[in-house]
Amino acid sequence: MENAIEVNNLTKEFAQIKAVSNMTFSVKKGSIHGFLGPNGSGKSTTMNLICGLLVPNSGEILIGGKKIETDFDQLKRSIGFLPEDPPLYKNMLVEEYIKFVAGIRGVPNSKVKKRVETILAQCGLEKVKRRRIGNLSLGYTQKVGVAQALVHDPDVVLLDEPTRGLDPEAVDEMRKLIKELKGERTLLLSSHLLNEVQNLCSEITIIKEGQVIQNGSLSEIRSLFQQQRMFKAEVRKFNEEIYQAFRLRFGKVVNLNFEKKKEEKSEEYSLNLKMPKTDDLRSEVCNFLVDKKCGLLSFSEESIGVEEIFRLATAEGNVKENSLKESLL
Amino acid sequence: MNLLRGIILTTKKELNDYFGSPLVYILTGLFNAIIGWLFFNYLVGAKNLTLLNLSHSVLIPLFGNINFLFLFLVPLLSMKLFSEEKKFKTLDLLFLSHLSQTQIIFSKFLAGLLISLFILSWTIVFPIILGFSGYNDWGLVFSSYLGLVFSIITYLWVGLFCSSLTENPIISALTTFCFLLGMMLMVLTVNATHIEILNTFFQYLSSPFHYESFSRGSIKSYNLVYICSFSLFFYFLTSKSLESRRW
Repeated sequence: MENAIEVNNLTKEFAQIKAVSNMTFSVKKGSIHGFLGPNGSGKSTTMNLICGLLVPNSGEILIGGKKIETDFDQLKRSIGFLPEDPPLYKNMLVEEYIKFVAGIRGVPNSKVKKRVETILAQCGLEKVKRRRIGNLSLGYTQKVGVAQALVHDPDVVLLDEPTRGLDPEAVDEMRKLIKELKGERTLLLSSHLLNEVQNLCSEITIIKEGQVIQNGSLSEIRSLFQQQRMFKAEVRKFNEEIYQAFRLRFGKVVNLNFEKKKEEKSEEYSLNLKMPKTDDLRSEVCNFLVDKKCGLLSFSEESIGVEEIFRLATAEGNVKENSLKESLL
Repeated sequence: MNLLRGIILTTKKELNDYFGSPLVYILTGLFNAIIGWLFFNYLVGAKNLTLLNLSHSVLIPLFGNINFLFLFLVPLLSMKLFSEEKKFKTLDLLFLSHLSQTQIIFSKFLAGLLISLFILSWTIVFPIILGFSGYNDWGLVFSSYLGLVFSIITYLWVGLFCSSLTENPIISALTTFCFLLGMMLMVLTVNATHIEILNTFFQYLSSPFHYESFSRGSIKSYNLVYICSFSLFFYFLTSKSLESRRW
């Protein structure tokens, strides 16, 4: 698939401190790409570099195959950017502000009214369009920020922590809004909420100390970090005797932990199983549980969460210059 | 983007900001109260109310004071132009828009100039009052106003540049004021040295020297060259200061 954003060997220094160091990653056209990293890892600096608000010390950024440094005036028309602190004129009314942004973003005069109406509806701002931005709640303020990034109908949208400081309901609404944008545009989304990235993004880039640690599809990265396959089973009966029999049968190949479910009225046990990626022992394990009359209720594969990937990837000593793809090669 | 559309949009927004805050109304009221009081005093103090006397005893010193007061007003009017945009990160919105940097700078300048002219416009009442009593040297009035406008333009360029240097409007206003006052005091200091060439050079660099030509009604070509070169120089500095944000 064609790349909407390509970042090649990007480096940015502030007073000889490297905020971004030799960063390389790409974002596929039409995808929602998650950009993860701990605080101060260089996410916002990278976003500012991608949209041309900062000039890199070295490296290049291509948007739709064109260099941002040389074609900034042309490319800024196709970029929508929501920075960490949305750029809002707090004394303006919501509608007045979006109209102003539409005007300076080059929406033709004849289309401004319709475009503003559409974007206000899309971002759920119709109710508050006549209210002063300074008087809005954080959730609505963030939505106004998203609206300003979308009003000129850009191809590439950069959202720097769009759900920062929002309550769960507002987070949910923002997530819905981002999902609606999928397909039409390419979205690069930086977030601390790993769950959000898992729900929204098909590909992720994890950075630490200004360097890319991992870059690729969620499933690829997951399989890289997931050394073992994990399964969860629920059974009616399980005890020490069956556990010993299980160990005798599978030895150290399959690791098993069990615990009694506390909340269930009837007796139920939860089994956590880990087995090597190379050996598929699912049917053997299931047959064993059936033979022992454990009353097998469910058996499902558990995948490693983004939280775990993030924890493992950003752990001390995990900073690698090469992306996942390079390491797989 | 259409050059004029961009400038009009941003200037309109700036003017809405100005008129939406009480600062402009307070400054207009205060400024005109001071000028009105001075006008009354000059009028009372004038011995004979002849045409020549009205020009020299009332209007020329009055316009001189207006010019001096704008030394205080312009820093207050220009302090927010870029500093608040930087503070609230809205400058990035303008840079990512279809506006060029030149359009952004000129729209800010135009808004500052229009608001200054709004404050200045009320002073037209004083020559009109004199006109009712037979005063008719309108050439001098016109050239004095032209001089004031040119002075305001130079003050505004300094204000715009200082505003682009900081995120703090107070620091911006103080820097502008210090620069403008320094420019005035520099001439006085150099005058005291009696070195003619240095004297002439620094006089040429100072804005009040050029205003004097206008207030006397004798506009020279070098006055216009000064205004243009001063504006261009500070436009260049402002432009570089804004560009430096990306470095």
